Amino acid sequence: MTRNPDIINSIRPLIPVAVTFAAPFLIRLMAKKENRREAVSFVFASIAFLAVVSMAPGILEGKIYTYTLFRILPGITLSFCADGLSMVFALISSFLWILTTSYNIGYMRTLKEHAQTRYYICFGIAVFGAQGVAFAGNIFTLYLFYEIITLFTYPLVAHYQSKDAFEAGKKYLVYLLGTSKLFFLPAMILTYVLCGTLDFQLGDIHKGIFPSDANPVLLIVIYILFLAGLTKTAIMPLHSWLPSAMVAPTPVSGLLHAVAVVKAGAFSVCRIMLSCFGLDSLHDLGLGMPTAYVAGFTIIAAALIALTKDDIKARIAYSTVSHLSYIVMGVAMLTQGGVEGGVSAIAHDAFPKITLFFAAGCIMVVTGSKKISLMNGLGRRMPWTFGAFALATLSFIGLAPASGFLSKFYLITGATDAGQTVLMLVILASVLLNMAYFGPIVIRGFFMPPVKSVDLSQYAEAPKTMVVPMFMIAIISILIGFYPQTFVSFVEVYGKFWR
Amino acid sequence: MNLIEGSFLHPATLFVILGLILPFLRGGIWRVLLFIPPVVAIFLTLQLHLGRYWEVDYVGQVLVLGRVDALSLPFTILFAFMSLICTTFSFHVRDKAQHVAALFFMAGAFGSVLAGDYWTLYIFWQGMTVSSSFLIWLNRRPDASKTGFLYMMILLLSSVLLLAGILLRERVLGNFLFSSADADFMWHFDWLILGAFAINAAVIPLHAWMTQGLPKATIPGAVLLSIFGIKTAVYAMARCFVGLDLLIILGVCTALYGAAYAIFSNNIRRILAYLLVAQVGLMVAGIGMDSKMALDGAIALAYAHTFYMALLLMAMGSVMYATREELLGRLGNLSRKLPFVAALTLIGIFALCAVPFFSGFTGVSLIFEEALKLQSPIPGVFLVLVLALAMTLIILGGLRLPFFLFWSSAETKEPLRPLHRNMVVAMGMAGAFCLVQGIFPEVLNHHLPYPLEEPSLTLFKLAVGFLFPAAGILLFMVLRPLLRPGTNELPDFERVYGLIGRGIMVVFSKPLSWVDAIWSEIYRTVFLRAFYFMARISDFFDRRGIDGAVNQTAASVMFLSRISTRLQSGRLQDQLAWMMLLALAVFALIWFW
Repeated sequence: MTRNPDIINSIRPLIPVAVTFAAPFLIRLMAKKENRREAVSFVFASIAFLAVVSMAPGILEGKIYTYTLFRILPGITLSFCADGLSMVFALISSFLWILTTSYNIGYMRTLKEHAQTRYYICFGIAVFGAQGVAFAGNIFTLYLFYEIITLFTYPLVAHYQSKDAFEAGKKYLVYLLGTSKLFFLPAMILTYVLCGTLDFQLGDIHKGIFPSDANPVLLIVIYILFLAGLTKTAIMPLHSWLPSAMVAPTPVSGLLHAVAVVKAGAFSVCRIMLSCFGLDSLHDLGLGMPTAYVAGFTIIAAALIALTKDDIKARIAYSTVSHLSYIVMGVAMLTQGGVEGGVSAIAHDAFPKITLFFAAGCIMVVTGSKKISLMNGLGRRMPWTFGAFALATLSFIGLAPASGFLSKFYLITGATDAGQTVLMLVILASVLLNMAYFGPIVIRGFFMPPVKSVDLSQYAEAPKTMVVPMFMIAIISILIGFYPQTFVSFVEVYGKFWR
Repeated sequence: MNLIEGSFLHPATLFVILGLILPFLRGGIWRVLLFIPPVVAIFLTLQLHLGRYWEVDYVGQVLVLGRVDALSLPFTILFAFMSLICTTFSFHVRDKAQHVAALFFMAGAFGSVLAGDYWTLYIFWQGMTVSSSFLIWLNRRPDASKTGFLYMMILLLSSVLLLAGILLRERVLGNFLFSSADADFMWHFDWLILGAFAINAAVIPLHAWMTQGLPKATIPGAVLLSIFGIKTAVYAMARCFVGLDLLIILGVCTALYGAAYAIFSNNIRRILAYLLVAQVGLMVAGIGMDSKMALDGAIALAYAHTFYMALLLMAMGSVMYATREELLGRLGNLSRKLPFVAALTLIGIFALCAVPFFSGFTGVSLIFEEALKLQSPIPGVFLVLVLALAMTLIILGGLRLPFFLFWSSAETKEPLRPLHRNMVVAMGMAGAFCLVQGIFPEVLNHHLPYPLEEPSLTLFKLAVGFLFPAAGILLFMVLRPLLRPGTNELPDFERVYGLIGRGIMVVFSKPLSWVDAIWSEIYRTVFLRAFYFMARISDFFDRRGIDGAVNQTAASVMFLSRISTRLQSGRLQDQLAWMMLLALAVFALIWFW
């Protein structure tokens, strides 16, 4: 392999990872002093975000930063890289952690939750894992941080320590750890044996790391093993862990299960497909369309199931399953528009999605209930909450200039470029389904009279620490459309798509 | 004050700005601010010059926000005047949310009509979809909420079709220019875009959103719905699909269907909604005829129709406001209590029935004339007969409304609420426009894209024009007993949409959810049991197998040592003898092997 002159050895990718690594320790130290403990989260989240942003100018010029920490075996190192794809995920996970900390404070303190220190520590480590996944420079590092996320979100899922919580936690581990050991690990080993290295192919998404004379059947097997092993992407049929994990506190569902954890899975799929296999070999092996169809099926089936759920978090969970497959479907189209749409959807869908979960959390904190059928008229008492929910819904149905419109624009462009009418129909049908399952929540909240068994006069708007960050994110998701290049520019640099 | 030559301010600008800041204004004076955007819009649109303005770069495309030409200019002027009338009519409403929705809706209409490219059209089209849905929801009744949801879903379908059509079109034609399609050679994306426009124009069978939604909207909201959304769709059809034969057939069918339902409907606003659908059908048929005069006719009808339909909806809204009742069967004999409203309703109905010297006449007569000249797909005479039938039905439905409302002998509940002054003023304005347009057709005609070949009010046309409604009135008098109003409604296509929605739930969602629930437990019932089973086997193997082997080894060693102990006799000669034998055996082994 010739040396790519754009690849620069620099410690920069390590900094956000190191910062988020240090945060949990400090949180532990400050266990008794609550305000200082929360301040640690804020401060370190901000530092991490700034560290990520500082790399942006260089990366937008085309540079790729790499750094190797140490070597374990020949060809297996713990190394980091920062390119366009990393930035998309790292930016949202670090930025949204800042706002989620405020939401966390409001949520945990209002409900007077137990074990708050453990909660914040695990939260911090989960974000550390997300940053590590974003900046992973080879498959081994990716795997390491991927598993760190799984292990340290388990205490968050089982936080309430009730029978249901432990059941859900058990399912969570069985699914995520089981599949990663059964599928991802063998795939990684097979790749190492085939290629002699686990490093990603940086700088060119068309070429991969596999030798050109590799047995195609073996490559297909490795591909399927990778996809099955990355269960965090919640592609059907390996999606059931996500609705069950909704038993966790809502900020966990918001940042982690809508942004950090699941997007880590989707990001890893993008990374494997684009930096490990490469567009050319995926095209030659004919793997693009089958993957896209499986993802398309997930989009529609999950949306249809969401229509039947009365629990608001379950409904949002199934819609998360549905929206995650946008990313996989986009990349699997193997066209410029598809890759742009799929990868930028990691960021574009994160903002409205986390808004929805935060709104559900506000409703839970105020009313103690999650049933949609009892929410009639609640919007009059909680206008900001339901207003944010409405804004997020509008984003998902593609109202310009919201972020959802941008991801639909690129995805449909990609589908038409690939000549795939069915995939385009899938995306359009999902727009209608989005309105069908989120619309009624907004309509019930604002325009229907209250249900007889519910007394609404006891409810008021949720605490400001929760409402302010939620509404800020809702506004961002609408306004991103005015600056569409925010995330798309990174994708264009990554794929070297010059318009 | 003259604007700088070549400069351009989009009429929608002030509507959007006011819509954004209105929620944050306190105090009582904000209602006065509502008049600023319409007045400025009228001023701006009357000064517009033809051309392309406000070209903006966005995501690699060029958006043209201000395309003024012979087709978009009349609609822009129309919307400007109507925005003033609607604002006047809704002045009494104190609910800010309704005003915000109205402002965005009107802005969306301006934006769509002035759009020079499909992206701009799509953005404003979606904006209209969302804001107009709020005009129904803000009525704050449970049935309005459900209807509003149906309304939004269907209009969202139209947006989705438009998006698909736009993107497919770009792949084939390479651009997003909002220009006409070739009626003789329609691509697949043309059909998608046509579908989107047809939904918004309430062409059957996709019209139920209008006939269900308009009666459930707020009183001012219904007026807005009849104007901005539908006429934008008519404009879009006129822009893209002039001369498409299918439109003639669709338009005629819509006219017949809408008029027939209007005759038997019993909700005073739903009657008007069906008449609206019927008249839009006439417009669509006019667009479908491949001639300049027919297009002129369609646009003239659209122009006049906007004013008189708004007038009628305002009148019916006033009746609803005064009597708190909306079913024809429960109202009657109102001419003495609401004389002004009754008179204005008559003006509107006569215009609707295309009576000469009332504004609807120009457009309808042009469409009939051009229909006569057609050869294909339907011979002209046959088409005219069908159109005449549609017109007759429209007249019947149209006459039924004021007759049973104002002059029948049925009784209405006594105390009437007095109407707000702004409502009366707005109705007066609209009525005045209708009269002026009728008596001086030139006022309307000089806005039309193509100059008319003959004047509107020739003697022959007047003769036929008076005969027609006269026959209609006679027919109505004869059929009067059959047309008595009741209080129930005929089922329409909304039942079909409801069936589709329920069908999806039953056929797809519920089974999928059931399978998913079972699959969700499989990890526990199958995998975990398998794990436990394997664990038990390992435990069994560990205890019996391995431990057993260890124990057995120990037992064997002890057995061997017991035997060896017995072999120990303690006598030296025995042990020497054994030693010699053993050594011989070993040597033999080594020697011979």
